[in-house]
Amino acid sequence: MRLVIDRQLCAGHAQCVLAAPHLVELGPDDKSALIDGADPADHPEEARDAELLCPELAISLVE
Amino acid sequence: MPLLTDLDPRPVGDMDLPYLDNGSPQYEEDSYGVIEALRAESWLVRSRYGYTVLSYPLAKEIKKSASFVRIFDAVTPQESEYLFDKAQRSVSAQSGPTLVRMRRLMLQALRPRMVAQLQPQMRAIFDDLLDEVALVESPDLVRDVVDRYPGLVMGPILGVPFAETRELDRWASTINILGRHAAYATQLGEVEAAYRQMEQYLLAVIDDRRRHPTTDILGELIAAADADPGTTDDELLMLTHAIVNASIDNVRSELALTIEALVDHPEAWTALKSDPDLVGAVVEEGLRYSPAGDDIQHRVPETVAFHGVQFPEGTLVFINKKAVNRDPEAIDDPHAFRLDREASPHLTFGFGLHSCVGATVARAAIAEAVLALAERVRSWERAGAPERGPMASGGAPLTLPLRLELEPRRRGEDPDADVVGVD
Repeated sequence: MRLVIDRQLCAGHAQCVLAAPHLVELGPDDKSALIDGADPADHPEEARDAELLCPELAISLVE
Repeated sequence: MPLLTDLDPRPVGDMDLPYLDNGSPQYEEDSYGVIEALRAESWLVRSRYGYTVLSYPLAKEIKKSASFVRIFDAVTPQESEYLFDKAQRSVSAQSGPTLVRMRRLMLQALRPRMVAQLQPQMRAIFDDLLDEVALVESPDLVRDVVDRYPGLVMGPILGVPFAETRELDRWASTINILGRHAAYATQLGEVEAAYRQMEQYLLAVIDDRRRHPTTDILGELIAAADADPGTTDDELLMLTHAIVNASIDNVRSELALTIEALVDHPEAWTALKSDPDLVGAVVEEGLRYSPAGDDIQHRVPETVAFHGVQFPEGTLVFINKKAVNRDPEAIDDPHAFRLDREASPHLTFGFGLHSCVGATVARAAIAEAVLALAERVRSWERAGAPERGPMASGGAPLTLPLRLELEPRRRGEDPDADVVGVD
């Protein structure tokens, strides 16, 4: 399971940061970034919510 | 913009700020002229019910900050205890895990990724409406087409018969008057009545869907909420309200405003006609150039210092969408309608935690309508002054008098196509 963030599409709403605090954080450019070493498989609910909640459709969960 | 320190913030009440009279006829007639005169003086102005932010970067900071809480409207308990109570419980007023849970339910039902499949249907509905007006003497594109389109599109998506969308639309438009602060005193009773009627209707829908489940948005939302033990009946009511209230009124207003912008910008219109791939740029620039809404409302739950200004607990802070969408700090040549921008930054759908969950559906519905027009309008030019809706709708046209020439519909693979074509 992999979480892919399209940083071109990301607008920094940070919905995913709220939904998946173990997986995603805001980078210095105010766009979402995967937390180093975080594994979506450890938090599958969070990963699915991050994908679902992104208003820009910038996140995909690749199973 | 210089970042003022928070070391010595001045209480906002002590500051000598310019006044934006956002209920005045001058503002209704020439919002952008009024805004630009004020922007030259300050990023923050006093307004009828609190303070209004004109700067895009600072508005975005407010949207990201937990110190400014989104409110659905600015009704006080003295004005209406009922509406105040509803506002407190609305999705807009939620935060933290409750908000995440509610947004998850709404997005499960909306399934943004499914929208692409609905687009051909939207296009066909708009084409049907154009076919109908082609037969009418002096048709009005907004009154006869745009006004009916969102109900026809959203009815089946929501799971509501078209006839009932008209009523929902009327209630939603009335409820959205809450955004028009000048109207409070005289219209609050009307707003409260509309809210109660909408609530009765939604309670009946919830009851019906529980007995007869459906796969439309309301059906999916009700099923998802019922499957989630954390969601109460009251929250479900608020969820259905949030979706229904936003889905028809706003699409109609934004589409009407976008069409008006295209009529007034022939170079953009010609470019779109020769390259329909520009439709995405048209939709985004339309959202920026003329937002279907006046402001986004916030309350400060605790005294907060922000860029040198101290807002006392309870202060209402508004983000003026027209002002921020045309802030020269955020965008070059802000008063021009251009399709060659790399991005059209805007806060028309809000931003951050409370950003519009229906944005994908709204963008698709506007795009399909614009594409149909680009293909079928041979020419259009203004033939009179439009009637306009309230500022709460961004002053969207209710009528748009045009000299209008339409092409017949392309029949695709229809064998009669050659016979039908007039060219």
